[in-house]
Amino acid sequence: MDHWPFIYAAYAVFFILLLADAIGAASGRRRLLDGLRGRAVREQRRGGTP
Amino acid sequence: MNRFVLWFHRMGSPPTFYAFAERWRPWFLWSALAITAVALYWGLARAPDDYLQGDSFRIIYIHVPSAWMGQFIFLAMAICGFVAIVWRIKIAEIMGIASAPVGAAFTAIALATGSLWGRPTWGTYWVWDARLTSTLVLLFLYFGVIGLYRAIEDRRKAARAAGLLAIIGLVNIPIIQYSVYWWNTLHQPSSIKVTKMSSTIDPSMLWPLLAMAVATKLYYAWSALSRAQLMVLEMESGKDWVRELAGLPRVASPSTDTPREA
Repeated sequence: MDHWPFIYAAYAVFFILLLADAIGAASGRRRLLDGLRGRAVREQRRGGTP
Repeated sequence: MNRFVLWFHRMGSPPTFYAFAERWRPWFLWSALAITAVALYWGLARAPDDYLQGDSFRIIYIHVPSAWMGQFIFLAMAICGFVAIVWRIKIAEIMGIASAPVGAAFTAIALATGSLWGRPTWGTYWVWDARLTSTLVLLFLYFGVIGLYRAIEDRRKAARAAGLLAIIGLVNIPIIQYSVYWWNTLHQPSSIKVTKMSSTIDPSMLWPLLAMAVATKLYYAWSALSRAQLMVLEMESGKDWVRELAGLPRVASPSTDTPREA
């Protein structure tokens, strides 16, 4: 039996799942900081304290 | 005070923790990638074939470190849960829950790659063997911890409840470890005994495996710290240090962040 298709599939699973985890871990910070800035700007326009 | 204890106390402060994570995250990621590249080249291209399993043994370079990480991260989550419940340290709550997705990913990888190794070696993708079943239970425990955290609105209470579930679920770790000795299993016993510092694997095959074990730990550090940073920013979004980070002016308030706050 040729084992390499199983090896390729196993390594593909490893890299795809870790890539998905890495994207989940790395994304969101810029969005969160932009959200904070947007919220502060809106609050300043309303004249209240942030 | 002991230097480690002092460092531990300092890490309880969200701004200090955030700065620490910001400084070390790139080192963890790039060293994990560099070690992975070397270890996988060594394991896939340089290590000899196994006399019995042929090339399929090469799956161990991802399967075994992932299985180790699944258990290691669950233990880390339980320790964080204990610290969070006993001392109410916010960063311990955050680190515990930030570890759950990467732990679940490693456990899922261990199950999937083990299954892909089982087909050419055992002739089947899956058997309800004690080692495989207890590892599947570990994956469900990870899902339980993540689900419980998301189900409770108060983030701090949610993190402590998830930490308690991790402490309870810790009972599964010795079951996974000793399942191959307590029951007749298709899964072979451990080839590496950490407590005895011994191995039945030839050094030419062993070193890439140990290098991958180091690489996966470094990756875990990067992944958990990245998620923890995001959670710290969300929890501390009204504090001056976060406003400064976002490029906003400080709010005139006497106690918006305290260096030793936990």
